[in-house]
Amino acid sequence: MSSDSHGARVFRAMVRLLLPAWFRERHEGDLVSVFAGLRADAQGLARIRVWLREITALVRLAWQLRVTDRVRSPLAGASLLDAKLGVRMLVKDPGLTLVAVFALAIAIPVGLVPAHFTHAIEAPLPVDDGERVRSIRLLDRATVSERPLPIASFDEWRTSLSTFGELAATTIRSEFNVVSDAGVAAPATGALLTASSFDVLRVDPLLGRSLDDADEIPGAPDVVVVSFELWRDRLDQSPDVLGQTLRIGGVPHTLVGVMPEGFRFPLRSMFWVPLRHEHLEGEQGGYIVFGRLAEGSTLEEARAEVETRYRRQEPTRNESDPHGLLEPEIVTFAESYFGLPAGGFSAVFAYRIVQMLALFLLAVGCTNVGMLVFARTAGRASELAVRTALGASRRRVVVQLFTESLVFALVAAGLGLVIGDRVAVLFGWMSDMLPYWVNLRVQPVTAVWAFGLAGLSAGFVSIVPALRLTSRNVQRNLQQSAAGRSGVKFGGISSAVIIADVMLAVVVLGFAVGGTDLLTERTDTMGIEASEYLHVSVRIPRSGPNGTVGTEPEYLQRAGQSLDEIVRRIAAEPSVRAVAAGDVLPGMDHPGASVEVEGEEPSARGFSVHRARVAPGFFRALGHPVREGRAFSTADGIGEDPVVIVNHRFVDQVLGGRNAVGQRIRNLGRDGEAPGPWLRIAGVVGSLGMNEAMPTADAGFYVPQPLASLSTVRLAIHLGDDPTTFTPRLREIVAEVDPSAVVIGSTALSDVFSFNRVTVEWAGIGMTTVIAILIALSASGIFALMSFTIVRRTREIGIRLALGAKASDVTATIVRRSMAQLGVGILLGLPIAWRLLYELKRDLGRIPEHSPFVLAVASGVVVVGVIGLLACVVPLRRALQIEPTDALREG
Amino acid sequence: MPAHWDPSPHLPLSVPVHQILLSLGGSDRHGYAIIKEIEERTHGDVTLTASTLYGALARMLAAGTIAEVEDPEGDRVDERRRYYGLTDRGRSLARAEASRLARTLEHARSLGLGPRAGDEAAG
Repeated sequence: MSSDSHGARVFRAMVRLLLPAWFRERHEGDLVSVFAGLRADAQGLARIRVWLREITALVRLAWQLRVTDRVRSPLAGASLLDAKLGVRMLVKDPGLTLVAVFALAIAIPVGLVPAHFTHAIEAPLPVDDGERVRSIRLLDRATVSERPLPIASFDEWRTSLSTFGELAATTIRSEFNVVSDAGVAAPATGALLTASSFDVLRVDPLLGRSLDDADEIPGAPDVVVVSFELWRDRLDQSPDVLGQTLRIGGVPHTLVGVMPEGFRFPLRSMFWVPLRHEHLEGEQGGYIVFGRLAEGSTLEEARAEVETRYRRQEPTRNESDPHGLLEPEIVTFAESYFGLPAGGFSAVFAYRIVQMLALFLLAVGCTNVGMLVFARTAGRASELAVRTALGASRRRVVVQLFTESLVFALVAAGLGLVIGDRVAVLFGWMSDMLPYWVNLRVQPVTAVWAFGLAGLSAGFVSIVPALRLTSRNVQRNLQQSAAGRSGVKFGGISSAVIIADVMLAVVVLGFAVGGTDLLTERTDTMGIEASEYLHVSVRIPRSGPNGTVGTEPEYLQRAGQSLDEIVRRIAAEPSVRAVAAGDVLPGMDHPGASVEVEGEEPSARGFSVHRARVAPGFFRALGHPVREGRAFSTADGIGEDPVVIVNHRFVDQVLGGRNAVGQRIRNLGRDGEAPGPWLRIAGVVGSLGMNEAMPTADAGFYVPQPLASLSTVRLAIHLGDDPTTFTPRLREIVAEVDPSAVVIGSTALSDVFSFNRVTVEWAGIGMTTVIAILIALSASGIFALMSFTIVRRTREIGIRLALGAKASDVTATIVRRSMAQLGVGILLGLPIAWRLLYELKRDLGRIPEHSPFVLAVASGVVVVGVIGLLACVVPLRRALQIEPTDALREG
Repeated sequence: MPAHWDPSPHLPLSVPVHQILLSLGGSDRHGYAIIKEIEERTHGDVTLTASTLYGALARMLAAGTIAEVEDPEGDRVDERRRYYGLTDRGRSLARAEASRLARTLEHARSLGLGPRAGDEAAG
């Protein structure tokens, strides 16, 4: 069985989008397969004809199944003429078109973003029939967390499940130094996987062979298969590459194969080495078990078999699951990889919130555009009344208005897709952080959704105004039409929408201006000149990728010695001012700890603080001498009387500001475990970025850690300007001391990655984007609606002037009404903006101050006021310039 | 099947439904084979799309005029393929439609509007 071709994939996506579930369950497979067959039969231009016929028939079938089989279609009768009229209206009203298309071109993609991301992330692996590649894992019902299948089950099931072909396992990501024959050394990401992985994925090598079962046997020659990209970029795409030696993590491996371009399973891997049993045992959770459903087996059958087998596996199950809380589940590879619950993102509550927020933004956009369409349609009430009187049914008129809205909604969706695709290209650098199957560019299915959403938006925008307009008494409309009035009262609703828009703008602007300090406070929280420090992580692997070296104590001793020597040699370099070493550095995510203070009534949960393990000389190297007490010495951390150093926020928040030196604290045990030993506070230091996301909550303590007892260490090397220039020399030193040592990352400490901080920053970027979109939508809504209502009063203004009213009085009347709308919106928006800002700041541990709030409110009022005034002035000037007699004649 | 199932309310049949009944009258077939057989038999006059076919099959299954059957060859190349065959109800419906067409043809002939000998041979 072959996988879907590109065309069949698009057809399948359309089938899934359009046809109801009951039909798809029974016929989807056959339908797509017959389509693929018919398409394959046709050649050249005939293929296009097949495509067109099939798509038309599919849409017709969807229509029959979803609509005509239940109710008569409300849209039957939409014609090309309506579409032409729609296009004509777009051209006739360019200002309105621009605002409407702009609003929907933002709102439709925004409404789609969550679905697009999840679709890209949850996509099946891009291999032959990738949907049938599934992962088996365990679900812990007590903690609702996932864990990989135990090794015992993997061993037993590997070739014995009837509903799966052979099972495979892969590590998620491992980084090693890769040195080619030419001597070029650089770290590369690779994966350790079982030879069966290539069979499961059905991917054949471009050159040589992939891995064999024999490669997995301990003691077999060490081999490596490399990616096309590594072969191209690091091995000059040489055809004689097979048989060459690559040193991976210091261990020589024979290159036996090159995989085809684009195959980077699972996370942008550059090479693959055999995963042997001892690696699985050492991985402790960092692997995924997966397989391909056997021909003819359904997912339900596979679930039933795995469940039964797991329950029967008493002896091994009892070891890992004494309380019977684990249950096996079969999920997609993406769900397993990202740790998503079965069912993917849609089963995650936070995702549903994001999805609702996106749809809310779409609704805001649609409401504004809907009001514009309503306003424009109101101006055409007489035309519609005439059409109705001439026999056009209400449905016919509704269809016409819908088609007109659909025209600009489709234009907006197309524009939005192009913009979205460009943005995806701009963010292409992000793809290295995502698994190889994730493609964020616009896919055919996204386009189908976008145009579907355009249809919905057009419905939202046009149906209500159309029904309202056509519900009025035809005769009365005709009379009013004869009298030159539109006959539709528009003011009430438009005022409500303008007020809502103003409220939204004030809330959002106030929130944005008042909240900016939350995102910009990061500077100086680390308390050091972080840009002068080079950050690297050095790891001494427990084993090379193919073999464990010695026992655990031997390994730790070797690792400690290597690290000690590496740090000593770096510190001896002339350009290096100082080296700070620890398990975590300022600006990174520090582990948490719960502590209690000796002599104080212990609370149930203790104090939540952060902790770091640091080598002697850490504070001095970072330019932070200990303020009180003493720094760590080389004897600390080895003998009796364990000591710690706390930061000043710890003193303030945990010790209530009293003298810290000499007091004792201890870690509270988790879940009924015994507490740790008492630790005497030897000194106090300043803030060193223990909590970058929330600097006011960075209380913490430091534990002394001799380098000789570590296997991985993070170094902050003080060098001065542009510290990354030291990287090549650093790699040389590390390679000289221990060729297997892996150097990970090499950036200025100021650029160091912190998940917490990045989360806050991305949340900030996301919030700013949402705010910008909301402001753009509400501003365009305010402007368009206000100016449109004034334009519609042009004739009234002319008559008033003709009757002798002063221009200033007329202006005052018109502006007063607009200002009243603005005023009400601002008054209603202010308390909401204040409350939101206050709550957010309090949650983040900041004391809300009045001055930024006043600034926020002022800016909101000013911006909204300017938009409102502009919306009044431009049409009003034009109206006042019209000759009163012309105004009367036009009427 | 009820003893007296009356096909007349279902007449006249649409072209796809009638052609599918005729195709399955010959032997049990899967979707792709039905399309190809009809196309061949009608010399390309009737070419069904995949969606038209499966829309019609879904309705015919619901009406009980066809049923899913085992692969007549017994050696399924592709497990996903479903095969369909005529039920008694389907046969009776096909016959009723043929009678209706025959009456129409007879009437056309009586008016001198029937096919000429050459037309019939051409098919």
